[in-house]
Amino acid sequence: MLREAERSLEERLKSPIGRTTATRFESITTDRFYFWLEDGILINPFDFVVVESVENTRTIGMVTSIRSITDAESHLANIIGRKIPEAEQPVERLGGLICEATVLRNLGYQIGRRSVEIRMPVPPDKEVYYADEEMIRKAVGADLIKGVAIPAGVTRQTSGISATIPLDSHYLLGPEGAHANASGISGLATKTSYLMFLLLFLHQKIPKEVASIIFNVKYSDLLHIREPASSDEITDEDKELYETLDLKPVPFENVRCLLPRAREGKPASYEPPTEHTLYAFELNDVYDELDLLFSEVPDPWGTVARFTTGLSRSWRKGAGMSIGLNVVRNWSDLLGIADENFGEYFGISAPAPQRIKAELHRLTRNHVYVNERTPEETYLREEIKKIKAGEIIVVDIFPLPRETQTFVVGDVMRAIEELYEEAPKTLPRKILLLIDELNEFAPRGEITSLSRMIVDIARKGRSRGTILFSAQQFKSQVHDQIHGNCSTHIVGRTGGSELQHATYAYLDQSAKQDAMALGLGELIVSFPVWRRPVKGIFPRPPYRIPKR
Amino acid sequence: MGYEEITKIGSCLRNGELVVSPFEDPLEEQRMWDPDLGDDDLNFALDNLCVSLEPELREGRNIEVKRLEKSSLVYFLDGSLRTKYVGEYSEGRLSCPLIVSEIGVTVVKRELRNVRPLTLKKRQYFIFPHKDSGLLSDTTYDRLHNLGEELERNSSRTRVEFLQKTDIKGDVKYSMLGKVRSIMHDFEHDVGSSLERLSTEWLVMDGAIRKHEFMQLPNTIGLAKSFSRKPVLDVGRGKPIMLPLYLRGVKEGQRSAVFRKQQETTEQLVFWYVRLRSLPQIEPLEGVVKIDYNLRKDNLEREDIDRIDEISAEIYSLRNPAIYPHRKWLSTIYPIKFAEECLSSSFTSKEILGRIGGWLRHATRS
Repeated sequence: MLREAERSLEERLKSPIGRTTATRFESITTDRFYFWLEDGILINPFDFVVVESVENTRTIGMVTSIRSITDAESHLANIIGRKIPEAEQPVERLGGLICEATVLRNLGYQIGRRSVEIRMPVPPDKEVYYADEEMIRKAVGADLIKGVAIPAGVTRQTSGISATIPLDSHYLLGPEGAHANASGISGLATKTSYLMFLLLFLHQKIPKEVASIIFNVKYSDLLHIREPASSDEITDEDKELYETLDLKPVPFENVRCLLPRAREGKPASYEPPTEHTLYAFELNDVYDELDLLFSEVPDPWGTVARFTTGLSRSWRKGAGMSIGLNVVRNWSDLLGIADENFGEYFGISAPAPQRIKAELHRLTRNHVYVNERTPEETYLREEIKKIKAGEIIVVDIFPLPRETQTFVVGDVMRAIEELYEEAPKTLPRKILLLIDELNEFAPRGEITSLSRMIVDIARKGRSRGTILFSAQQFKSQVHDQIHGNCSTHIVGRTGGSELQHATYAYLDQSAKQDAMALGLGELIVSFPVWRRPVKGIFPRPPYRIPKR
Repeated sequence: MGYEEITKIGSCLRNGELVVSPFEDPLEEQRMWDPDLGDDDLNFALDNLCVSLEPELREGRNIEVKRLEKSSLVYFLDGSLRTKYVGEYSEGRLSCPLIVSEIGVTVVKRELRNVRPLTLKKRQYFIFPHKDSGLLSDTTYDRLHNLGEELERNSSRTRVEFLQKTDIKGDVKYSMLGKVRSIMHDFEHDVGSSLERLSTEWLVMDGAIRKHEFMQLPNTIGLAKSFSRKPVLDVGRGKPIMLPLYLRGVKEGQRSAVFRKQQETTEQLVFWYVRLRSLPQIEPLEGVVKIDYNLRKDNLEREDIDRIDEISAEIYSLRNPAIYPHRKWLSTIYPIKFAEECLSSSFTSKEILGRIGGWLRHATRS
């Protein structure tokens, strides 16, 4: 027999690679079947296979595990055989490879115009073949897509076949399901890059339908997405992948970068792009969202809430407010109010006024908080509300302290809320929100103003059209309702202890084993219409990511 | 199992009534003691004195185990059967037991370091007493006889056989089991003799080869995992000693002297023993195999001794891979276990075997 590598792809696809097998103890079920492997055949977990099933139908499965068995009753039998040094083993022990496969789909048979899937166990002793591209695509329902087919990536099979795995936009962007969440350890260029890859497709293929808001949380990684990647960053393999995926390896277009203001009206960003707009916050801008600013300040007696609510109610847009004889128009004015007057006005007693002012001082120390913006500086919420279909807004929050990052994200959320309330004609059908390090903004077990807003998007965004693309290292540390409402889950390489958490219940044990060993650019995607997650790869970003 | 053939057999029994055994288990072989041991005991029952053809060897002879460049033991043949007592057939005042046996014979071939199945043949036999036994009516016998001939003509895998009156010794049912074993040996011979092999390729048969037909097969040895402890051995010095005592002196990796029954009636059959394994505290016959060989002459010559040494060395090396914890792992060589595995995996399940009685009875009534 020829070695597998020496056979042509056509030969490999034509020849059976094994036969299904069932025993008294390991039966074939509606969801799972076993097959033994012919000598010399190579196969790996996540490979797609096709088997003849009942009524001449075909069932497509995915290999989940491979076991090597022998006729040895115990390990001791093998030890005994090798104990005596001069005894050569003249014959090989009987053994073989057994694959376990999960049933992904039965292609069914036609009754009139209707195709009826047969979910009966695959019969034993039936020939098993490598799946070709058409079968792989059918296994993941490419022929049943109701909306737009969005590529999830490319699956590379041991047989040599590559196939594009499509996601149905109805399940990624609504109305059937929505949101995508990516997790995995950092440094493997998987999580954010993958979500950006999805955005690239959406903006290239359906720009009139979507607009995106991206938060940059790491150096200047996402600040240069309209600049092309250097030639050494995109390999020939990447170009081939782009071609397979029917995508152009070009950077994003129609991008606006909003950077936080630093000292002397300069951008605070790390390696700022040439074209950008600075954002800064006057008190007059954010008087009604100081709850976000104070969201992480403990408030056991409700004094902070009384202050933020009181300020929000008394403030008159553009005119500010008066506390006693003092007129308050900006942060300095507010911080300059005497403690007694402050306490009296907001109905809080000492020492709360002093503590609240101290916290306010601490929280607004950053240069992004200004008493008065220059004409070159803008208010973030207003900028967000100008969003149009096909546009991408990148909001840099990396240089900001953590509390301010939370505040900025919250401000953007409020902007989106207002956008829907005002419903301008330019409102895109889908607003995609990309948040990295989601566990920072909506941690598990904590309820803050911001986490409530993000949870609301996760719950209601599907029907409204606000779609959350989120990422974090540890999904277990994110609010349950967010990943619970998420239809698409992406996993890059993840540690074993993290994978034991219930949030990864959609991965079976063998998929978890694989998730622990994923490489650069490899991921496992779980999608609602698939019966098992699929492993795939995607190309490196076509935009510039500054080297550090 | 051919349902159609079973229906035809049932139809032959329409004049009587079949009382079907309600039990699926046990199979008859599970009730019986080791048949190989029984055969060997029978062989040495009347005449158990054996003489050594190598009087210079008092105890064992060391086998030189080396990696053999070319193996001469290439084919390994094993026969096996699975027998079910179907029930009692009664017709008028006559009555007889009815058994069905599935008999399989396989040959595995050793190629380089691999062993692979070469051939596997199976048949199902329904055993009835011959009409001369007075246990079956002439009419039913004639019907079954005609059907048996028809099945044979059609090369059907289902066959009908009869037990002659002269073959009935003691209990009819146990005589039928003896008949089945005899059929299996014939079947083994058929398969063994039909093998196309080179003159340098030897055949190893599982069990003894005392049967005349086996003795005619060229380059063939019999390898018995269990054998009689009855032989008394005349090793050439002093009084003859009993086999277990003699085998205590044959250490692992050694073969015994070559023996022949003093009153040998089966041509020039010689035999010797090889100890494959010796673990502490095992009884003397454990870990030893007995090898039968048709010497085709009266005395051993140098070339015979060389061949016997070579065969012994090869058998010794084939004790690995070990098949622990199989009941007979100490004295089993791997290719024979492989052949047994091929057979057992091809046999009809005991559940199906257990349903044959029901099918037969149904056919007798329809």
